[in-house]
Amino acid sequence: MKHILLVDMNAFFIMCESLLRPELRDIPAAVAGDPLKRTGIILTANYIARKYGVYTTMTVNQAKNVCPSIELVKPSSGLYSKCSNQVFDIFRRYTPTIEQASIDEGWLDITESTDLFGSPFDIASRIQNEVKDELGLWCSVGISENKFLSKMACEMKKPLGITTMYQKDIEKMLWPLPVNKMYGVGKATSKQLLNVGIHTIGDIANCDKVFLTEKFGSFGSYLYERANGIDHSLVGVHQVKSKSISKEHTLAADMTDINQAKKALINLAQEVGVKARAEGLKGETVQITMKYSNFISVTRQKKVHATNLDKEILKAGYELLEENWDSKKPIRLIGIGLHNMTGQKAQVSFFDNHIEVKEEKIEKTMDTLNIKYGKKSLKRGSNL
Amino acid sequence: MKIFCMKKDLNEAVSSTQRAVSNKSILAVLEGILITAKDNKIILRGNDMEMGIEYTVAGVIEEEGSVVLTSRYFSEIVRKFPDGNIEISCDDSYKVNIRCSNSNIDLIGLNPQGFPEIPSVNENNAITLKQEILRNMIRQVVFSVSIDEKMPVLTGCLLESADNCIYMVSIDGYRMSFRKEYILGIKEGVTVVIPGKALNEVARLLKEDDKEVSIHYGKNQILFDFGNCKLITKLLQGDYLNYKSIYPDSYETEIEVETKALLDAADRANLIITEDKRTPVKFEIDDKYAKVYSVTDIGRVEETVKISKEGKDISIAFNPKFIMDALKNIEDEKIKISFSGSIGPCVISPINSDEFSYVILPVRTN
Repeated sequence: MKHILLVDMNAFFIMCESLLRPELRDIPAAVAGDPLKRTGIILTANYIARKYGVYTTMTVNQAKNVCPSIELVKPSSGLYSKCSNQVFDIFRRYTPTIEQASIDEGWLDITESTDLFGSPFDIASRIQNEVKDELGLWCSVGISENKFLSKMACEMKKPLGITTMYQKDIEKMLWPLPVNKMYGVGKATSKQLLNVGIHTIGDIANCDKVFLTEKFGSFGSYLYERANGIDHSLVGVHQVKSKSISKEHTLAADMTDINQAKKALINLAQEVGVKARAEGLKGETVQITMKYSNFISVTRQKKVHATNLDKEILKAGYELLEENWDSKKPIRLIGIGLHNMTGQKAQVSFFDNHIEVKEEKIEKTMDTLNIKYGKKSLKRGSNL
Repeated sequence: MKIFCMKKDLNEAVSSTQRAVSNKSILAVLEGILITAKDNKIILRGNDMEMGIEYTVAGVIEEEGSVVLTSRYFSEIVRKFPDGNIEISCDDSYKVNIRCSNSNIDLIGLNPQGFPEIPSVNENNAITLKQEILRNMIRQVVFSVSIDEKMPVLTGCLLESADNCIYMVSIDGYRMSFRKEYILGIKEGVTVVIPGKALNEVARLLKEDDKEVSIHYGKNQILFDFGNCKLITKLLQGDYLNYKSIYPDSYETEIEVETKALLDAADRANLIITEDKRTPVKFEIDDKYAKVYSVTDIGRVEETVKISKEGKDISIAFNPKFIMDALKNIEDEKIKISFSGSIGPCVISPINSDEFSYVILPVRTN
């Protein structure tokens, strides 16, 4: 049996901010998109603020209503990735098999590490303590035999929780939970499930698999397997290739200047490129998303020669921005993505575009360095 | 027409000529072999409009004349005759009678008038070399011609001459075979692209002996003259790739390895690779060993081959077929492999000779 940990940082952004301003630990505080603007949103609230009912995605205005004394902090994203790198360095003390799920969350396969470091629970508590003592950050850990169950286990006790849930425990621990608590189930799916009388994860597990497959397609069998505690996906291996890859960013302040928007796209295009290259995919369509201050979002897209290069994605993004920019309409969110993915031809050919091959080499090298030394340790000059 | 010849001679002539006959054509005459008995020569011809083969058979002519016989039946009949003397006669209405020993066969022949003429080639432009040498050259190059009709010129081999040597090159987009032969006295001049299909036939007709073959070429055709047999083929038109530019300027890693050891390792790694999945074979090269391995649904093969290395360690993957094709065609015991990064061209060549080299492009791995 495998032993998988999911380590999730608690209130990560605001905890990072508290490292710089320790006074934030003792008062209700949150990281929010430009706190001076009423339209900014709460990115992460600390646990004191959460007691007042402040939650992520709430607008600053709403948060101030429920918790007038809340201290709002502007996001300093460079700090978060630095902290994140240090956290993952701690993970690496226990296993090389790590999958970063996001900036503040990662799976660790510790199956081969138990002889060296002790039981999965021992390892989990060592990680939790080291993160706390060395970095002053909090995390929760889920322990199980696969990625899905470890994620579900981790969610059960926050902050500073360590929860063990193996397959044998799911009937007691997992099945009573409502469907919307299930990892991978969003609003739309849970509504559909409720409509057919499925209320808990146990209901899904005991449902007829054929029924679920007919209703939800392949997602139906995914739900059935996960609800029964089955997940064969490996840590660190992306088994499912993306149909599209996109990244978006809610801006700290509404934006009317196209040059600022272009700057925001640089990072996003790079993230899209990194992911596409890691999966060996190329996209034939570049799409940008703009959400206006009135919360209406539009997407605009254009065809490109199949690519996964940051430069090419960004170039198409710039063109789309220029064609569609309206300086009278402030935007609050911007995103860019690659769609119409094609597998990259694995066999190198003499007819490959040599400039592209060179560019690919550069970007792959950058990717490798960024994996080794931490995200954004190497950047393009334009992005400084 | 009435002729006599030995089964053995006729069979060889028919089976050679047949290679230039199309199996299916709108013109019945193109599915046939033309037999001409004239001026004391019995000549068999096949011509599929791309390539023509002309074979002179030893025999006796009692009455001159000519006729076309459908190749499919004629060749089978001759092949199945017992050894001995064959008599072929034909009347004015092209009814053909073939006799051998106790067999007596009538075949309906065709009027030879519609049979396409085999074009002539300027006999002055000539290169002469040993049949065995040309045979080896073709064998070492022809396997990497392209089968993709999108770039017709690459479905052929480039034949080029420089002072005192000739070159043959084929490129299919992912690999290149290069062969050079020193032939004293040869001048710079020829640059032609010969269809791969025709070259395969040329190689079949070439003997492993000291006899010579002479090559005559024009703008549109090339003729291979083997003495009693001639093959003429259309040349492929269009500019061939600048193959010299394919070689990398510098290499990051160079290894020396025993050809057979590496071929055997690749062969075994290929055992668990199915055609449809096209999984690459991976090579991990450090100072002393090349680890050759493959992992598929069927299992995992790992081979360790001793090497000597200069430059960086490298991890690289290839289509196993490409590696094996190259290694199979190298007779030298030891080879040098030069790598230019994990997605750059890789050059395989014998250690003590510049007479041939293979350039293979790797497969990307993630």
